[in-house]
Amino acid sequence: MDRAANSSERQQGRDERLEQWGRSQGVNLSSLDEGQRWVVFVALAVLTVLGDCKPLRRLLGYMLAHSGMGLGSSLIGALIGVSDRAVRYNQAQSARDVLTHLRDPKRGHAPPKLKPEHAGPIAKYLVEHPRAKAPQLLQYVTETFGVTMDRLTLRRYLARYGLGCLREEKAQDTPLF
Amino acid sequence: MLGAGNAGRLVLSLYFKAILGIQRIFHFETQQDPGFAILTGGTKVLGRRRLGALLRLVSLAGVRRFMQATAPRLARAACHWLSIDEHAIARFTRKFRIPKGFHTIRNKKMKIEKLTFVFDVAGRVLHALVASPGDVSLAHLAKQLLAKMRQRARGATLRVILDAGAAHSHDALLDLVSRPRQVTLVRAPRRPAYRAAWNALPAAAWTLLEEPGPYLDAPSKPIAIAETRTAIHSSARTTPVSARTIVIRETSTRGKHRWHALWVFGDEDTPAYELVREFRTRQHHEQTYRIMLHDIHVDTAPSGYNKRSSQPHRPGFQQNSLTLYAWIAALATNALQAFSLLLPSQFHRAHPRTLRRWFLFTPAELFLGHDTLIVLLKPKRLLPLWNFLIQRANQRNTRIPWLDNRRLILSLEPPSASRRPEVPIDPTP
Repeated sequence: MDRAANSSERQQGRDERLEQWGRSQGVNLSSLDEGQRWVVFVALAVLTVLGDCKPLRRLLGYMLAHSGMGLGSSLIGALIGVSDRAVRYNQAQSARDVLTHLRDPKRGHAPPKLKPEHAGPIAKYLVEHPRAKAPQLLQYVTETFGVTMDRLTLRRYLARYGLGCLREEKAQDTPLF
Repeated sequence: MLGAGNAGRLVLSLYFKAILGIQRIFHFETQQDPGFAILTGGTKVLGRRRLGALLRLVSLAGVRRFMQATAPRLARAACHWLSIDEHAIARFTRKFRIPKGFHTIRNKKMKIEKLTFVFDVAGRVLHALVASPGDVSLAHLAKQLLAKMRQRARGATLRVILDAGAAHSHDALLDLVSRPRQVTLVRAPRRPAYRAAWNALPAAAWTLLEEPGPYLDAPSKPIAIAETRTAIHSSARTTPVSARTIVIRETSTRGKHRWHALWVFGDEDTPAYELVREFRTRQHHEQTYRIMLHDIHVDTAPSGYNKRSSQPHRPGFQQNSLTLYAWIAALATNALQAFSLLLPSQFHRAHPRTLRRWFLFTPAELFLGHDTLIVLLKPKRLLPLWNFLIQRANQRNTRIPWLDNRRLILSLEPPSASRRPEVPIDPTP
């Protein structure tokens, strides 16, 4: 069998594998160019060897994100089994940080920037400024605790500690001591 | 009949009254602090009349169930050191003829009611209580209490320490001490016959020792210690019981108070001076009574005699409210001590007033969230320690069952820029 025939056979195997994986993961691979398809195929082959070893999967994700092949974070996330947000977070880290994390992996999410004990000053601010908008509250949080965060995280925090009722009209129904 | 809601409010009101050092139920009339109201299970503090009425309404069976449910756990061990002693509450009534007993602090026989507690001298925890009229003997009450403690000790040896009050009646004392797996140390009364016998001991029987003086840099106190036997006669026995007796004589003083003697039952092996040191641990029990009297205000307990009795010369004795009040005071004493042990070493076993001054009487703002009660504390001192305590408290995810199961969140007010930096303190206990 000559070289061209080998190449053709490998390409056919690749397409079948990618089509099968794309169907199972619900990923549309039609927009990928030839080079990207080969990289994804190689990644899938490596992943079968890595199995459930999370640190190495994460390392593979870091390499794919920095491969310069223009693979999107959602595609890489689907490959290594994490969210696109996690891929972007991983991509933004330095090589040394990634190595440190591989050596000493931390379980679960990063600790939240705003802790339960910050709820008191925020509650007081909400009571004293019932008309305050989210940007003003974010600014207060940054100035008081030195924490920068997005609106969604702030909203989640307010919901978790039941602070929503301290704003606007709902506050009137709830007795405040 | 006391409902569950009222019972909860009653117990919480009495408990936090003791924790925060509110002197009397009468003072609830002027309590309007909303934080205290939440602690006591409502949005308003109970009035004194309602609280007093609820306290009189409790049944003795209910109180006993409550005591059983809240009694501190006796750790599994081969041996427990228990001190049993009584605390007299003076009753200044002319109308009612109630039994008299000896009030040791006032040093006179007067109308009293007695609270007798079991105290674990190793853990310094109050374990059990009996409330009684003033004329019931310590030996009689100790027998009742030891029967309960034996069940909770699950076969462990009990080393019981008793004051001289238990040795008034030989019959009752011998009935109390003759139990398996029980060692009893009783201070012997300084009766003239006993003192004469101790004085007659040969010089060779005495061993001279030196003990530290009463204060730092004081000259050491010379004492002499001897061992002998005392025949204790009893109407229930034909032959007297020979009790091991350890006698201490202070050589630098005179009079009957230089004599200290112990009767030891059930232990013939432990060296005499070790037993003396063991007996001295009952001082922690006395110190706990001092705290309960001056800081927890246990003496403001409701009367055991029936003030509405139509027979003032025989008013009877009702244990229910007196027992509940005193038991909750004991729980608060235990809790404050346990709290002090969570603090840095300089606060270990601090007096309740010290704990209140530094930690409990801290101004705060309260915010009632959907599912949370947020307490914004404003301490002025020990901020690193407060940070440490608050983080630990928030990690425990404490819920308040009587406040719609809200989660308690503690916070500190952010320090202002003008505040001077504080001297660092190691927050670890």
